[in-house]
Amino acid sequence: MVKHHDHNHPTEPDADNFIPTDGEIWEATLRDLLITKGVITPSMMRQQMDQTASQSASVGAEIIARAWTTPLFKDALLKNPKEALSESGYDLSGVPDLCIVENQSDIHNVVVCTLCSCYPRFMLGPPPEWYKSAAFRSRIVDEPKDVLLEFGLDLNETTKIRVYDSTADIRYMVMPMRPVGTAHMSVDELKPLITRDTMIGVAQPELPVNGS
Amino acid sequence: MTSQHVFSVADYVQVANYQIQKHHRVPGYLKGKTGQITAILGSYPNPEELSFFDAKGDDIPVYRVCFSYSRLWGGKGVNEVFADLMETWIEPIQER
Amino acid sequence: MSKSKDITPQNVDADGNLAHDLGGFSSRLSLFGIDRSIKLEDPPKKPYEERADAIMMLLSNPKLGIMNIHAMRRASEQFAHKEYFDLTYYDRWLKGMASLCIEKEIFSQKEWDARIETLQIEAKKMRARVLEISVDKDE
Repeated sequence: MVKHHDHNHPTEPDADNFIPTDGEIWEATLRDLLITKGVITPSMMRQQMDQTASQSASVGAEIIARAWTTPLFKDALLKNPKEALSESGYDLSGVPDLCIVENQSDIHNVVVCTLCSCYPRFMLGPPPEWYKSAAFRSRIVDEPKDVLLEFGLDLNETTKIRVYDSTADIRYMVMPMRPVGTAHMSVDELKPLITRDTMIGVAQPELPVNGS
Repeated sequence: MTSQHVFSVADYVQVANYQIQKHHRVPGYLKGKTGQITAILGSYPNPEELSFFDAKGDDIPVYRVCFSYSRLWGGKGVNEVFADLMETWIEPIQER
Repeated sequence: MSKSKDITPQNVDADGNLAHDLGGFSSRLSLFGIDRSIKLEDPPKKPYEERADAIMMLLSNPKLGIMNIHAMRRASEQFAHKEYFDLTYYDRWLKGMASLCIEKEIFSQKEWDARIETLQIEAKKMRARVLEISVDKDE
């Protein structure tokens, strides 16, 4: 389709030399043609980019913190996440079906999409590079303990690791365990402990170092 | 619209081993492997059909299936892999 | 009738595996010079990648109905192993989306080729202007 020039075309965008990469040319061409043909508009592009830029793991952190502090909400959330979220006022139109898997003292969950990069974007924002990488996608299913160790998570041999491969239309996220010593904390104090990585399953929430 | 589903939670199933080259959502590492159904997830339009623009995509029941590490990779270990599979890709099997 | 080009046999490896089907196949990575270790760094997306991501979201949005994610995945799965690993994540999706647009007759291969060439020429001219060099100079 596109002739691949091996010389003079950098693979990294080269702001100083002003030579676009093939990918930059493809993107510009695709966008130009889609706009020319009236399929998308520049305004749609801007809106979409703004929406993505505003997405983060804060929705996920909020609902996990609420689940930790409100047992009834936790039960409802685990049983039927979209229903619980809807009743809490979230607009879930267009959001795929969701399943939240709960970590326990002897069970640790982690999420992957080995076939592409399916990810609960509504809850966690866009996925990190490593989640989409060949290394993570290939190794998390057969070497989960080793992979988690590379993230600094050292689970003992008796912990059962459950890897959820998002092969169909359901998106998965992890409900991490509430750390010991947080019983006094409010939802707002708990949220910063619940990072994106704890909700994919490559980290566990930790108490802040300064104990605040 | 939910179709009738054939399998129940706790059933043991074997993943079909079709080596097809059109778009399908069954990873190679699961093909031919035995697992246990842990949830019935509802029915979803068939992505194999929907991936072609002129096809409608029949609703197919989807199941969450649990595969033990030892069944997938051999050896001992407590770990598990869960995947969501269409009814068209799993067959009944007696637990050995 | 769909004119979709289905996945061709040369895109599977000796074991019949497609390039995107990576679960449990980390041994394949070394064949293509891909590092098995997890790179924890998550640099911000390049501007063109942010735009590519936006195009992906728009084209797969069920409310807009332009395309669907299943077709986009199909198109992203049609690479031979080497190309799958040579291309970056967004470059794969961009190539896939372009081929789907041609398949769906949103634009033609000719229009695509012509626009690519136009943009490359414009980029060359812009570069020459900015760097104050002759258009044909590469350095």
